[in-house]
Amino acid sequence: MTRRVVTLTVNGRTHALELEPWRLLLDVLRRELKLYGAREGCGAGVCGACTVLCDGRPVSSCIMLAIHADGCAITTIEGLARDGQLHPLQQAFLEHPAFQCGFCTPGMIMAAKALLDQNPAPSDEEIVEHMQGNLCRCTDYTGILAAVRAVRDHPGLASRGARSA
Amino acid sequence: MRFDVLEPRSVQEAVDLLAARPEERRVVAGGTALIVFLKERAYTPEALVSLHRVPGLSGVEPEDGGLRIGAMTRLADVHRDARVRAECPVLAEATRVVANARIRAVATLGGNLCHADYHSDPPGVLLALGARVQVRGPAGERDIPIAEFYRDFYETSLRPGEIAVAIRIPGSPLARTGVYQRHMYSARDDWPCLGVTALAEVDETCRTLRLALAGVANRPLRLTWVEEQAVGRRADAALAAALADLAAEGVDPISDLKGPDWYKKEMVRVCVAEAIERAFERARPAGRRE
Repeated sequence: MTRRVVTLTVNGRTHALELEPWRLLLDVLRRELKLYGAREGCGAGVCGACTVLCDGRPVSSCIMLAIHADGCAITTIEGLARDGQLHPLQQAFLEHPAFQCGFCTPGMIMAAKALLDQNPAPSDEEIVEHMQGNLCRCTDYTGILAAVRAVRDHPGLASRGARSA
Repeated sequence: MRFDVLEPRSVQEAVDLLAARPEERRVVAGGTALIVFLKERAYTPEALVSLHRVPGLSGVEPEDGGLRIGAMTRLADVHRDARVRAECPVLAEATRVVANARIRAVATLGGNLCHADYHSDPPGVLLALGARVQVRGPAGERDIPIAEFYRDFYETSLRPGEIAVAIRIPGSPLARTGVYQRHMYSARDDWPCLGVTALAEVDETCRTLRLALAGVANRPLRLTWVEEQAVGRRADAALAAALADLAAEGVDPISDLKGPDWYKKEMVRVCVAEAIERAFERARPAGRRE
């Protein structure tokens, strides 16, 4: 089957990749670009461990054809820190603390970033509603939600975050 | 999981590609449902015909006093659309609760309908609204009423080579005041056990009622036998409860992972009463709240 050239701008860097048509975005990020932050959890769009941003929208990269992301700007967890400075969400996840094993954390942070970029002042209920599609099996959700609320509640941190990504 | 992905640039080209080998090819829109099925080897198509490069299939426009929603309009864009929110808030409600934010950001309304999942949220709402699916195929264009669109679990009445291009929702006061609510006993991003749509027109009495259920049968179900009994009766909680009894007695729910048949039957009674009461309340002319 003929390969296609798929152009992805990942964390600001443009890659022209020659791919088989069935390749999935998560697989391409991990195998071709060696970005291991997004993980395969359920493989079915349910758990959120593979969440990345595609033109600012949160997507399950494990069920997205790479061809469908052609021409898109992709942001992964690796694209958040700038010059050794963590993104406010990463900092808040450390401080609360909002993770234990860390498997779900990149997806959690990318999901939270999608929400705050789109709506910088979500209600507590809106945060829960948005984050409920990301599953964590070992920490507790209270720390995760507290970290997201903390970034929402500190506009200084939030604006730093908006600039950095 | 190996397949080719064909990327037509027009609806006609997509129809031609699909019609050339309808058994071996499948249409993909967002792919959030299809890719999961492909990973599970539920389907093993030779190629997917992707609509992502076909222009003109997304967006919400007014049409004949109602709305026309392009089949490739993403669910998140349906529920955020100002026109949908103003003229058809019941559809905004139903598209806002499908799966999770990641799925809604990619899945499309046309894809959702054509996937024909029996417990998905939008189909029941569109059935109650009397919507039609505009399709294009080798024989040209036609509209299929949602009531005739679903055949069975994951089966539609699309003919070989046909592609859904838009969803047409007739303008109606019912669309402005309707209620969609789901009964869940698991996480909110799961499929609902039941999805209930209630649309009502009310003065002192109930002038019109439309009622649809998702999750009880192999396809969305319209409860016409209940609707008929509502007309001309005083629109109050007692009527809602009586109608909900009729609904529960008349359905023969399927058992699935969201609940056994007997449980769903009892929950139909509870949820339909609540949905009808809320629909009456929303539809009541201002100043006549009870």
